[in-house]
Amino acid sequence: MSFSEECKSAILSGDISLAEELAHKVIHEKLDVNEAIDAFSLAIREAGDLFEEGEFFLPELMRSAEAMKAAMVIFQPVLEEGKEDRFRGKVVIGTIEGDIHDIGKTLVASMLTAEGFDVHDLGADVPVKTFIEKAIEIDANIICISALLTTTMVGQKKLIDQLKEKNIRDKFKVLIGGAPISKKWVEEIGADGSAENAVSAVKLAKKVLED
Amino acid sequence: MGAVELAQNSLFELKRNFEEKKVKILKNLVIKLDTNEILRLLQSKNSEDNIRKAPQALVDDIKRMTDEALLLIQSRAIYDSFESKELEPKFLFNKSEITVFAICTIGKKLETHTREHLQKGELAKGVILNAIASHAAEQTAEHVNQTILNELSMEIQGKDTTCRFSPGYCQWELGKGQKTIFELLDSSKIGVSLTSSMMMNPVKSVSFAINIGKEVDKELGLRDCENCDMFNCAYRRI
Repeated sequence: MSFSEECKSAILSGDISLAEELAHKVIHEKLDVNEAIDAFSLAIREAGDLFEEGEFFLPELMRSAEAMKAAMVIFQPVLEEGKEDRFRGKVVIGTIEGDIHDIGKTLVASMLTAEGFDVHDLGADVPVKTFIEKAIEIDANIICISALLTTTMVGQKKLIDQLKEKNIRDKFKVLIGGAPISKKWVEEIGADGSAENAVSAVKLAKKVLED
Repeated sequence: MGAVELAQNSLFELKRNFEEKKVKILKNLVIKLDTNEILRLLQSKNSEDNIRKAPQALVDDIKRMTDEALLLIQSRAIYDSFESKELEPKFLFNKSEITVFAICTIGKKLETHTREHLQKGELAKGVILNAIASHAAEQTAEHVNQTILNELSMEIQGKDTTCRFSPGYCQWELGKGQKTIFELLDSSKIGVSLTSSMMMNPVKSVSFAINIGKEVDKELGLRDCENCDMFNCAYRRI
């Protein structure tokens, strides 16, 4: 089995110990960190596809994400040294003010982290002001806002309106999610996209940064 | 309105009395959880045509965590019946004679426990416990629904009942529906509160209504998107 295949196997089987062992091997044997991360990333994407196709149950995908995250923690010091020229999108994520649901948002944050995004999870019931302040502070690429009810999704519009008022709308991509979100709502408030689960959220986040 | 706390078994002894209404509170409800339903909740919505057999290790995990969760589930409910003609919106209640409102919850403990796992990065455990909690909330609502129908069996004779329907469904505006139910029932007695955005806390709670009468719309409460004519509904899934 090649090294890439071992990485894939560790992620798809959700084997945290093996993922850590492989990541340590990369560091100790001075192998190419970028190549290793690419191999892990390819596997987590495959896990996501398997979930969407019904071949994986959500806990299996989450175990893959846990294994991926465990490996990324080991690569983190090398990435922070900046020797590996690897772009990591910065994301501010949270559930909007008045909304206390946070499981869906937490899963999106975890999948984004597993895929190498630098994620700042603000939690649930987050005021619009806090989203914007954090996004400016860390110079975020993406703001992700979750809302689970029709009564709270207006907060997503409020955030975009405030970004426009401050003339900083173009600085960030704004992605929205939650049960009541429709394409019509995305267009109406001028968001950059919506995703209905954690897997499609990661795909969307990558896509909007490529555009 | 005097509140009377009832053990589940003694509920059936209660005679309903329109003149002297008594709020019914149910505590320590025993609910059954179905592993297959939990598995269904753990599948991608897009993949329901491709139902793969779950690996045995996952089934074992779910069963083990279900036992763990049952110790943390505190199923409770409060309900009462009202004359439908007094209720708004008219299009929902005008064909009904009696409407029962209910609020059910599984309490806060499992929700807190689930969040703790997720915060520790134990995502797989977290999502399994969350699915168990969602299923438990629905099972609690189903149990309470059945209890109400059993209790009202005399009044129901010769009449029809709707399935249970909740604010946010059946064109019942979420905010107005929640306000109506929470104004009429003292939800603090079962530890449920309503946020300013009409969200129930604990999250795994269900509020609902049942209409009873000779001319009720029996299709009401069949909460299936395929049977609903709200084609632009934000929650529509087909």
